[in-house]
Amino acid sequence: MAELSWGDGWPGNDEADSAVLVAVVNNVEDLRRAREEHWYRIPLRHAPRPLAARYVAFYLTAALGPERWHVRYLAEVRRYELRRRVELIPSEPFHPRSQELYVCLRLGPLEELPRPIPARRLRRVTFINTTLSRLLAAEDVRELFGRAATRGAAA
Amino acid sequence: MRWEGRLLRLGTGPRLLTRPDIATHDTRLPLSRRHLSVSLVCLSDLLQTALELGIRFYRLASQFVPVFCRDDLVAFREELQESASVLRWVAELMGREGVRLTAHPFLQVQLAAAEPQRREGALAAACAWAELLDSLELGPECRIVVHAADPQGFREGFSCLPAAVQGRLALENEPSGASLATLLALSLECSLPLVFDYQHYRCTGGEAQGLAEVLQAAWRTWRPGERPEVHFSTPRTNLEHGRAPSAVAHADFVDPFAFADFAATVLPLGDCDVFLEARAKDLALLKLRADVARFSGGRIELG
Repeated sequence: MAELSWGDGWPGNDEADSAVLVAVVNNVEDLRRAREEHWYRIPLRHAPRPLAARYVAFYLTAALGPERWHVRYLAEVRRYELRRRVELIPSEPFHPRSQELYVCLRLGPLEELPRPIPARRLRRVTFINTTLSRLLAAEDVRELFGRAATRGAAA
Repeated sequence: MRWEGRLLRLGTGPRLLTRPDIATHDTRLPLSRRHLSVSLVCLSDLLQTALELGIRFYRLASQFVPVFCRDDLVAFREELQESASVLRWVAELMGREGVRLTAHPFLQVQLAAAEPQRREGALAAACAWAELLDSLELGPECRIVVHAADPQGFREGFSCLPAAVQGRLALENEPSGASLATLLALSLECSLPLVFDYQHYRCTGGEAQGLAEVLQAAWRTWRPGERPEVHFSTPRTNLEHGRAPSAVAHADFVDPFAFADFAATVLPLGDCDVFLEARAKDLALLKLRADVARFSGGRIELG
């Protein structure tokens, strides 16, 4: 399994079964927030099950231009919060969903996968529960589906 | 499980073998990388799965509260504050669905420990566990079940705890050591409920014929309105590595005939919650439901 080069020495091959939640980034601003502010949000009413994961990987949609239709980035999930949208994005107080509750994933540094995973045919992605080993070995997004981690979200 | 209108609710945990992919807590290493909010989200995943199986009585993993000294307690309290929104979310889920939680960190909370550092760690852990249960807005019947070990040592350690923390504890009878009578007396002295463990009772020579009387005494240690917690398991009987198993070791599943006899004694006393200490966890619970339904000839109705 290809090893990632992480600044603080993780993850190693002993984390192969770690749970990864593949989530969708469909706008540039959300990717910027993940990269610069280290957080990502999921509407609570659309939260996947299971929700807990050690890592979150991001599938980029067409809005992300040249990076689109690939799972490219990975970050450790360090903690969770529940916040109203207006608390997370105070610059949009009048957004129709400003009072809606979101699960806020506080992230570690965003790292680029050594080999981005394309979605050659499957383009409509929502959430995928997978494992770190599957993520690093996959050659197409379709390979991420299947049996999830057996050692659990934070194992 | 119902019998003539009485309710006997089965519980399991921490792991759910029907969903081995869901962790019971944040397992990252070193411990400093863990965060309570991650464990709480794991708990939410597990509870929602348990609810789909009709399970509303669940045991938290002992590793949920990684507190072993006073410094750990300080850090844990910070995490309780940082996790406030997630705590509220999980509390709402449990309140809405009528989930009962229990905890059994008997290795972590050894109030009778003689060595000062270990006792300090036990006190810190007991405080952390109690503050967690309070933060989850759990009712008074949700307890931290511990062993007394040495009754006098337990009294000394217990007396060092704040009243609010004392009120979250419960004692459990043990497979050896202090007698059930001694523990019942200690329970009453400390105003603690006694969690009756069936297999431990039988391991100390308790007889099935005396079970009703013993259960009544245990029931009296619980306050009115609090459903007693009971632990039930049957011993392993399979050959392991060429040797006979210990009578204290829990079987993977539950002997349905022993359970049916136990239920027939327990149910007339009132509603209670029975935690199944079977190694096969939720698989054992589901099998027991099916077995009892089949073998009871309809006498015992499953809820």
